Amino acid sequence: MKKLLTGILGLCCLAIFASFEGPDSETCDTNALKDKARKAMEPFKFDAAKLMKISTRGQEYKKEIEVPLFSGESYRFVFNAEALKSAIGIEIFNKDKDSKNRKLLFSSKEAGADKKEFVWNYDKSTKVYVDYTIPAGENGAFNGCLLFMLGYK
Amino acid sequence: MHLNKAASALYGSLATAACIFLFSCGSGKKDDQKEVTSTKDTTAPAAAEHKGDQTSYTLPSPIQIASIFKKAGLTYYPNIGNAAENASKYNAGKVNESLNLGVYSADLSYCALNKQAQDARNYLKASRQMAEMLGLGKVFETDNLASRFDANLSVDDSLGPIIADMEMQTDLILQEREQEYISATVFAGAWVESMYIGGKVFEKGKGKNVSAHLIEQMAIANNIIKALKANESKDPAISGVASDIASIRDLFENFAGVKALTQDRDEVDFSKIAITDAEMAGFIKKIDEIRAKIVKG
Repeated sequence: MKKLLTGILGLCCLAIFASFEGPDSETCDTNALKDKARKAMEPFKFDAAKLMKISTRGQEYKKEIEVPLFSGESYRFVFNAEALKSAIGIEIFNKDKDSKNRKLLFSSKEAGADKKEFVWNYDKSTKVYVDYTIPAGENGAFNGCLLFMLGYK
Repeated sequence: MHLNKAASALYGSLATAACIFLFSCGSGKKDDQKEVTSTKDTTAPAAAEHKGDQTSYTLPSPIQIASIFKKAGLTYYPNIGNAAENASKYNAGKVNESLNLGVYSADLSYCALNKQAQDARNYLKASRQMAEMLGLGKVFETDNLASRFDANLSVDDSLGPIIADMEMQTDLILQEREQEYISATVFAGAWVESMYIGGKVFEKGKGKNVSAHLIEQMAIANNIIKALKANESKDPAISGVASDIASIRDLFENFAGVKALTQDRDEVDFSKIAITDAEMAGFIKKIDEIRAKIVKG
């Protein structure tokens, strides 16, 4: 009886262990990403940061971040993609994804598809929209983290 | 019977092995606060997780807003900010605490950029007190931020980068912990306090250029409201904060000059909006009213 109970407990443990397998066990060293992005940010000053944890889905999808910018400031956008297992598309537009005739201001493809860090400067006071395009993959599979840091001077 | 015993023994062995493996794996990561352990998209409202097309927002740091006002000629007046000793009275829950952490972050930025070392030290202490109540005391330990701050109190232009580091640490820790609702309320408090300080300096007649930047800041009012509304389910007090910010926005959007420029337009250049003196007085009064609600505790 005692062994049977131990066995049941064992199966429970295995079930718990199995639940820790897969995407949730994946981690990113945020401090390492932050330190690298901060170096790329110099001489600009830190303004905001967005850590995006990326999982794939059965089909390609997009994430958009609206970034307000103010007059009289120059801005630097730094993207650190070192913690991503496979590349995602990074684009910056002058209008949101639902707008017609929006203008592409920056594209990671043009900057170099094999790069892991992207730096882009901008000095207009308007909103811009950062779009991430996550390619199709295994549904729910963890692809890693992308850090976006915004600076100004 | 022998087979059952053997199976039982096998389960027992597997159980022991699995438990040992499970806990040995867990202990290696548990203490490493640097690492992110979730796969959720931290920038998106949870309810819209699988829609995939939702937009999230960045909100400027309090030190950047202070810097914009400073460039516009915002002069320093002592005692405009919330009294640092009030920090001990904010204990009515996370929203109340995070709003006032934001208020003190804005006051700290205002003092630091105007080289008011002693006032900045007092606001740093108040900010730390609020941060500790929110479980963010670690921010002040990372990279020796607090001691760097003390060591640089008398060094010109060195406090700004240290405050920026604190804000960055706070942002990232909250994102790692998936507590972005705290980020949103901290920012709401900081934004209201920054607008309040800008309004007070404008009223004293020594910040004529500040009015244009007060107006320009309204470009992010909707982002703050959306960020708060996306997190309403996390704490019932958040919807009240969103309504307060919305009341400032609604007043502003009803000014004739604002209506004329924003009607039927997707994109508005806020730097081109002009409002009358009476409208500006009403606008500042509304900000005062909302700020008073936040700092009363």
